[in-house]
Amino acid sequence: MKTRDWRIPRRTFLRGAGVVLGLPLLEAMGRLLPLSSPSAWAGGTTASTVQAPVRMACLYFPNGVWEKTWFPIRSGRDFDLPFALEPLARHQASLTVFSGLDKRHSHGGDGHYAKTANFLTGLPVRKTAGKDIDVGGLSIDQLCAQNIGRHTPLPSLELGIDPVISGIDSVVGYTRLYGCYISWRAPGQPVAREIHPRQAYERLFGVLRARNQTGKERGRTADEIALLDRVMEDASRLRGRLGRDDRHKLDEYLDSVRDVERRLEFFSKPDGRVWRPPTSPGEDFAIPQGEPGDHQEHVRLMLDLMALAFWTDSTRIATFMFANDVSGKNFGKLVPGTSGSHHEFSHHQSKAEKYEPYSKINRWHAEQLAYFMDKLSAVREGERSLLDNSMVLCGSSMSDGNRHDPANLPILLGGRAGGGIKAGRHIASPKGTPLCNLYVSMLERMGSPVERFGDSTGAMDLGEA
Amino acid sequence: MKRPSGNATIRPVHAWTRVMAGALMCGMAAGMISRGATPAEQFEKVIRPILERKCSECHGTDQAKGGFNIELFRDFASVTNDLDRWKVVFERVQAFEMPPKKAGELKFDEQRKLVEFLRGLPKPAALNCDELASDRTANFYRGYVMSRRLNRAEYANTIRDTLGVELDLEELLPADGGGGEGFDTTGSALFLSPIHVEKYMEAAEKVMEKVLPESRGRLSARATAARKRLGANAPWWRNPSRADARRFLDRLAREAWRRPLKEGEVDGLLELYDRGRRRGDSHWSSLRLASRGVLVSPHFLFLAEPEPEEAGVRPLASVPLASKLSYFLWSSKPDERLMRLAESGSLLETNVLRAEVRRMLADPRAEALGERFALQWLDLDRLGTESRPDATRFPEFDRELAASMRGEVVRFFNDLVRGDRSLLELIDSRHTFVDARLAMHYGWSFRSSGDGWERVTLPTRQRGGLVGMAAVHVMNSYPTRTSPVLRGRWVLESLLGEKVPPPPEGTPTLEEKDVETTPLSLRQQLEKHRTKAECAACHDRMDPLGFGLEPFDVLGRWREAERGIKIDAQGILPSGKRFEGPAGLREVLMERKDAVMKHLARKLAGFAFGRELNKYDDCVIDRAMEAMQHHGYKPSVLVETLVTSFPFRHRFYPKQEP
Repeated sequence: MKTRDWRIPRRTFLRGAGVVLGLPLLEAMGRLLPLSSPSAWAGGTTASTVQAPVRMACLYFPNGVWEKTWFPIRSGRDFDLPFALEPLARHQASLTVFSGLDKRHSHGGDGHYAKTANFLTGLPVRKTAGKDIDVGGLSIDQLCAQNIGRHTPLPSLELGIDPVISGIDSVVGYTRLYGCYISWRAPGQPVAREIHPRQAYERLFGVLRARNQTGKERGRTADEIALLDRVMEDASRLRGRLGRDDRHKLDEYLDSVRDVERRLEFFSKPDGRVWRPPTSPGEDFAIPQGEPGDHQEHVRLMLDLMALAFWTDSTRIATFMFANDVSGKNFGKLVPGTSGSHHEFSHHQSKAEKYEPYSKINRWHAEQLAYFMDKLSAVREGERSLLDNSMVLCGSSMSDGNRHDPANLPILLGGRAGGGIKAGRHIASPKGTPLCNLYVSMLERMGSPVERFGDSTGAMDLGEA
Repeated sequence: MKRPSGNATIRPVHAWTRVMAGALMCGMAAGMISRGATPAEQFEKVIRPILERKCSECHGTDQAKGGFNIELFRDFASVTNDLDRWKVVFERVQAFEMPPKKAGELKFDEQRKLVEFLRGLPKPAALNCDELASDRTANFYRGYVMSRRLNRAEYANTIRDTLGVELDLEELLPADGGGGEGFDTTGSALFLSPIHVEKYMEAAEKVMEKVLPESRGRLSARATAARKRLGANAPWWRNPSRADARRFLDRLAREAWRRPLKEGEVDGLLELYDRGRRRGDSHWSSLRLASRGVLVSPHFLFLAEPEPEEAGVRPLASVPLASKLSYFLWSSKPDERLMRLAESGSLLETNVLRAEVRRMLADPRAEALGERFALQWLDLDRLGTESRPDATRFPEFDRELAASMRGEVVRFFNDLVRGDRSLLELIDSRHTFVDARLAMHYGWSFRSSGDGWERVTLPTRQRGGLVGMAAVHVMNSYPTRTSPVLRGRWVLESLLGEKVPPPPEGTPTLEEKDVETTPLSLRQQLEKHRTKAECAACHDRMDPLGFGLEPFDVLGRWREAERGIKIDAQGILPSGKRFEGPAGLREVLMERKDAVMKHLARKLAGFAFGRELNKYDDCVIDRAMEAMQHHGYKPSVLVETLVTSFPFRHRFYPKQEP
């Protein structure tokens, strides 16, 4: 098995075991954190009093939850942590649990696709075998990226575990593609996500980033930009000769090329950011190698990368899919007593031999969230931790998998948005409260305020820390 | 939200029989509208009142949303006069899309009656074979994306055939989704993100470093051949010049862009070359930069079909036709011969096109059909990644075994195509292909040949055809046990091309005692389940077919018994016909061979056309069936019919927007 070779480096990744393997990364880091303020390297204290930016991650897991072991009974500050949420106990003070949230436009359509594709858009999903994909609007992360993404090298980061799957789900007549994306840059345009840790790493710190500073590299960046200008000319000319239905494909290309060009330019110019990460990830990194064989290791590696991206202010916006919707993943090896298909368990028919493993799988996902929160809380940003400065949304697009119920969605929010959230509560909203109300509040805290989003009817009161 | 209580109401589609615990929930009830009533009477007494109650608010004279006014359909004759429209009504009602929730749901019984009635309407009149869906002919034409980017496999193949460099796909680009008829050749489902552009730039850099390194010592044999063909090498006695660069870029662009170049196109690329040279970079380094301009260009990445001057349904020009053909059969670019035929225009002649199909099918590049088409058609491409058997119970299942299982399907399919033998062998055959790993898995002794694969004559009638292949059995099992329902559904949908409707939510479910016990009890459970009329409608069609495959365990190995209980592989079809085991199942399928072949034809057409089929394509499928029936179901006959068809050679060009 060739899955072995990455495991040893993995141990050292983000964990400070002291093995220095990631030279290219360090090089990149060095450039990322110019020594403008020497004390920045001291760690812990920042020379600047500028407020750290708020980061937002949206984590999605498929197939809903067994509600009885997910939703706390008590609301408010004194909320209980049921079985599936127990792993989050150490972060209870930074955690907000939601109940009563709903996604109006997912009550129609099929059991899964019409719920997942619009997890972050909140608008209706058009039923199609692929001809005219439409999720109603762009997703919260992409909206945010459009508004504030220019401040960081990457406007946003999209990660996942499963490859996008092809084909039509002939039972319901939806393209399976809908179950594979939560990030949409336009109603008909999903954002490709990276599933290979190594590739994700390179996207963050790799080839393009390495090109700046020295004269030769600056020349190379200029070359890349000239190259992109050249192909954009090709694209504009070609676009003019295409018809109505084909043009938007070239628009996608043009958008993407411009995006990459912007990124190259970002590195070739002086960094305009006033705030700088006060600490550096240091030398304890290894570049992920090979392919993960184990689901949990794969997930944690991707979560590590997200934490690293936030830490280094490479991006402030990220999405992550634990799996594609309708995933039949077998957790038997990771969680005792769950041999079988995740999705099959979600159709529990109220039988203990089904809902028990189902609930255990839910709990496993909460554990991974706790892991991610560990990583974020370990990073100091002045008075606060990176977790304090973040919002980590984690949830599924339905509540009970057996009923495919889009009411009472399982939604968690980790972090305090830099003091913008009174965390450590269970906010029990009246039945039917739009999930998008929460999105409106999150967008506001990201400095990307909107009056309305999706099917929102207002903003969710998240309090002040 | 209106949600009447007390009455059973139809909720939105409850999906995924596939994954439901034993899929024990039921399909739609089989009940019919009062027997004996004529359709006209039914319409008047039963259907009209439902439409008036539930639809008239939006589809009456006042609003007539979507241009649909039920007031115009007062009697049955008016319905039969506009069958196209009612076909759409049928599709939307059946899919629970209409009426929309806020307008008031249909009661279960209303929905059922309406669907049964609409299903029974005559099919819209047969169409001319020489038509396409367009703004003019299709009421709801929303447009098809015909210019699309290369998918991942096509990208790698095209690089390989142009520059002789093999790329590692997994590492290279993000995976593609599928659409249309379920293939990754569907333009509307192939998206492009910044991550793609970064990868394209990176890949182009890697490739060009292999083909145009600073020193020739590091060249692979294939790259050397490609260099020679593209004229990269200046004579040894002089340094390469700008003219050499121009010649190379000219050839590279023509090959990579799959068309003759227009005036001035190379100049744009040469600017990149000059840029490097001015700075003092080497000839090779500068040429690499310019060559990357070729490979990151949309002319390379897109299979574009530019609009002709005149809008409407027009024949595809010969150059885009050549690419359409080669990406269909080879998942790669046209070769030199095909390019020449395209450039001279003679490819537009039907007999030339036909001859090219024959030639290309015999070429090794046509093996892409097995990997790209067959696996996606049969829904086996996800084997070993997305779904896999439980690792504790089946530790012998790993990536290599999954690859061997997929390999059996691919090799079997490609062998049929190469030998141009009857496609009916997909249903039943006396041979299959195995490598050492799979042979061991099947319990056969194995002599290895060249590439590790061996054609074997089957020792018994246990296996044979697709239904005997382990890939099918694994893909349609649960992690810990087999599932007659999943396997039956696969036979029904992937081979016979039938659709199994989703079970509506709220239908009573069978009290499932313990599905995990033994196959016998599972069978009893399923049989009991089917005594309920509502469940029987679909499970009577699916389960028996799946029982025929029960002798194959989760990993597709033959078994006589399971935990001490003898396997009962008997299936009883809705018609009352009994059959036994896979051999019996193959007979059943052979009796319905035309259904299987028709479905295959539809799928192949979807793959070739890169879109969902519509009613205008039915005619092509009918023709292909006829041709296959007359010519021993040969693959070449099917492919020729599709390639020479009107929809393959024509396109609808909407009016240019200013």
